[in-house]
Amino acid sequence: MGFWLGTLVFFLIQIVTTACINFFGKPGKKGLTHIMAFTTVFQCWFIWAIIYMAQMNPLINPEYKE
Amino acid sequence: MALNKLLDFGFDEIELWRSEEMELVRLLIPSESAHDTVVALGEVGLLQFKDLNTEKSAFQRTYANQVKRCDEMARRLRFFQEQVEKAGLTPTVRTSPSGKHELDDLENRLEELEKELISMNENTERLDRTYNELVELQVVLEHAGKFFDKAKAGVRPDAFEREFSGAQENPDAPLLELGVQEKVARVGFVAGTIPQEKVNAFERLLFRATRGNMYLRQGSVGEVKDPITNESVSKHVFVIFFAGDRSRIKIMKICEAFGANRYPFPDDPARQRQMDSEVTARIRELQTTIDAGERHRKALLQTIAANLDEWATLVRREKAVYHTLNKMNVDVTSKVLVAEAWVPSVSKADVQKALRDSAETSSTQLHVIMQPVVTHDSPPTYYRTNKFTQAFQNIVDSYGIARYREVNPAVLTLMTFPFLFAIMFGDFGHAIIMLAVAVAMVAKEKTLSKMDLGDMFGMLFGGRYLILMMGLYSLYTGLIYNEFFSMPTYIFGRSRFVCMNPDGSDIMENGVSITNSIDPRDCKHLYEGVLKMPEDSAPYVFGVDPIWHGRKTELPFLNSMKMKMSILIGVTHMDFGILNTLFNNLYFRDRLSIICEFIPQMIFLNFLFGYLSILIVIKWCSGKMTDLYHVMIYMFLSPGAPMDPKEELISGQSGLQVFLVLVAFIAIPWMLLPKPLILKKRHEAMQAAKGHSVELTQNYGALADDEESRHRPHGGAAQPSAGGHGEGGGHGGHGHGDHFEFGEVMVHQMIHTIEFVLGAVSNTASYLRLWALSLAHSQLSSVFFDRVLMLTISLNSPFFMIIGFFVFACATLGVLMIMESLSAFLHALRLHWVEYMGKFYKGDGYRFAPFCFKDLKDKEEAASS
Repeated sequence: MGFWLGTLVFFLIQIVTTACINFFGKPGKKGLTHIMAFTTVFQCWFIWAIIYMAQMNPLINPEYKE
Repeated sequence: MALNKLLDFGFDEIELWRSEEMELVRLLIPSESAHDTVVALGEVGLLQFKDLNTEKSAFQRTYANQVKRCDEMARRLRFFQEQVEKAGLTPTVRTSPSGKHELDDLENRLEELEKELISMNENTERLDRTYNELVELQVVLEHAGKFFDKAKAGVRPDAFEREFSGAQENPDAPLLELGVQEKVARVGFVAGTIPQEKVNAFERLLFRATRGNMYLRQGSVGEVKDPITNESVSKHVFVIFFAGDRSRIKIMKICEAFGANRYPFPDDPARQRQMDSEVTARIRELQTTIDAGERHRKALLQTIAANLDEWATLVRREKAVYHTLNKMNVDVTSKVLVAEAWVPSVSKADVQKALRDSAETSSTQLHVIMQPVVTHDSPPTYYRTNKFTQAFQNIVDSYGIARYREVNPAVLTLMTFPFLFAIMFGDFGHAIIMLAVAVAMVAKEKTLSKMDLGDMFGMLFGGRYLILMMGLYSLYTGLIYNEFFSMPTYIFGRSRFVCMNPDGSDIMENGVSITNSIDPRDCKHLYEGVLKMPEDSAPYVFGVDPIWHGRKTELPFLNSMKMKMSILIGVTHMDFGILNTLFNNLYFRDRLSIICEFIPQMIFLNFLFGYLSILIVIKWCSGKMTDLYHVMIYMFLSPGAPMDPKEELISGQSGLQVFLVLVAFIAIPWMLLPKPLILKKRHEAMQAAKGHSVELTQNYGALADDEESRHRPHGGAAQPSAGGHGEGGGHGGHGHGDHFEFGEVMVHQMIHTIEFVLGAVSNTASYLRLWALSLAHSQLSSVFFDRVLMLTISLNSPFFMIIGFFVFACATLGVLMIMESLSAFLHALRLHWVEYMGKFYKGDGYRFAPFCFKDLKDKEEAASS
């Protein structure tokens, strides 16, 4: 549940970024800017998702040193 | 409307995605306006001229003479530059040339100036030499006089007599016949100066050569200018007393060998005084002459310095212009120069405008004619980069210049490079330092770009936007790893692990659950509980749970997580790499390569390692204890063996694995065999159809009816060359039909296949460096933090705290910020060059190098260094 919620947040960030580029960005070619925005959001989501999923069902628990 | 605008990504034309479209144009330039035209084109700087006289040597070309003259002028300018710098003047740099110089005038002027300067230099040198000699002489007179007197007083004539007679040449000669006076006259002496460091050796050699029959007095006189080298040397004055002509000759030779300057030194004190005053007078005289000469020379150098930069620019331009003119064909009869040049299609209008303008200013009747040429040579690769994308494009270019119009890896590298770097450099605190450096450089870029920064810092400055991106991403991954100088932060709330009884039930006190309020640190010794995450709890919302820091199980947890992360990132990254071959093949209309390379490659990688990635995700989500090593190994060793249902991550997993392995293995011959065979068949069909116009339509048909595909030299007919790297088809798509060698193509395909299959395994493993480096980074920073900073703080003494902080700061800067970031950078570079670009990038193009006045100076400097 939390995973999908987080993913939704990243998706919203993507939409906002795209909107910002298209509505407030400088006119002209925007392909590269969009690609950069896509890869950035994707990568940020990807690493977040990996770390989140890795902690969903911990197989080891934190233990204190003696 | 708004939705349309929102969804307008502009993906049909992405800057940098492919290199600019180029056209080859032929220019017909009337020879009388050739020079002016080329100057105008150099100002525009958008044409790369083709050398049409490759068979001619540099001396045989039309304008060889002018180039030689320019070289000569450049030599003179360098001479002036040296002289000006020696005189401690700095040439004034003017941004724009003030007036128009005629080359001939400038040449004459430079020649005159050079002559004047050289004669002046010779004069000054001669005067300096005389002057220095006189000064030394004065020093010798002054110093030697003193110990000469002393030495002379110490040598009694009769002592000499005795000694001297022993070494006499003729033992039979009567001793008494020689008068005392005469003998003393034979006691000679030599006075002079010698550099300080040679004194000891000099003395030793003298002693040996004369067998001790000499007496050396010497004393330091400090720094004196040497007449020969005109440099300040610390010197000693010496006087050697000796006896006999033989010794004299020997001593002279030794003096010469040691570079000792000898000076005449009168015996008589009265004459000494006289000489001294003479020398002083001459020195004064000379000084005024030298000063006058120096003033004159300085004035001359100042005028030169004021114009030097302008002249140098002019000469550089002229030389470049004649070089360019030398590349053109001269049509003697019609007085027209023929040039061929590559020009970006979008810039053609600019070039035409420049040509029109130059024709108007030179008011010639004949205009320059520009016409497109159809060619099968592969055009140069040209990207319009900006200050942000430049550094990233350089990363790609240092691997190899892209083939014309192939997919440019720099587009994805823009973001993936800083990302992979940050995976290895994830620390919030270190990222802030890195960001500060980058932001400082970006903020001051206008002032910094004008300065000469030196090699190291210049490189750093060139990559400032790269560093900025790396810093930003490190900031993000630092938050994700939850490390601030290796310390965890609680920005995203408290840990999700709570203290529970070992059986998983809440800890009760007075009948109320206090599990959620126990400080985790008290858990074990106060409540004998264990840290556990409740069944229904979601994990830490953003990044790694801070509780892991410093726990006994921290490393096993982080290792397992980061290793899996590396594989997930690696497989995705490589998939994007293979996907790029699809874009290339679609663009060059190479359907054969899509079917016989792209698809089996995708299958091979994803059916093995993509499957592993999916297993990783499923394991995480399900929380099963399955050993993924075991699964992967037995997937090959005993396919189809039934699995323990407890271990099974996907229902019907063993059957699925048999299918995956089978298809992956089928993909290998699929990559290897069909493509060369089909190419062979095509070639045979073409051979059979030879003689008809069939070949023509096959080769050029697509080019003729499709305007756009004129810029696709590898399109359609170029398919045979798309398979291997080093095939002859690299230059243009023409002609390969005639020399198709099946063996060669087969070998290339084989190498390609083996490379891919082995690479799929080794490259996936190679991404594990992400895990290793990120682990090393966090461990190192935690060692510095705990063992240096925290340890000294716990000593509770301000002195140790300061020392501790200093050591910590140095270690953080030196080891983590410089060495670690460099190694992370290099590993990110390798992952891009080998693992990512190796999947699709041909990189056998050549760079567009337009004839342009703007960067002439940089080019010259680069060539000379």
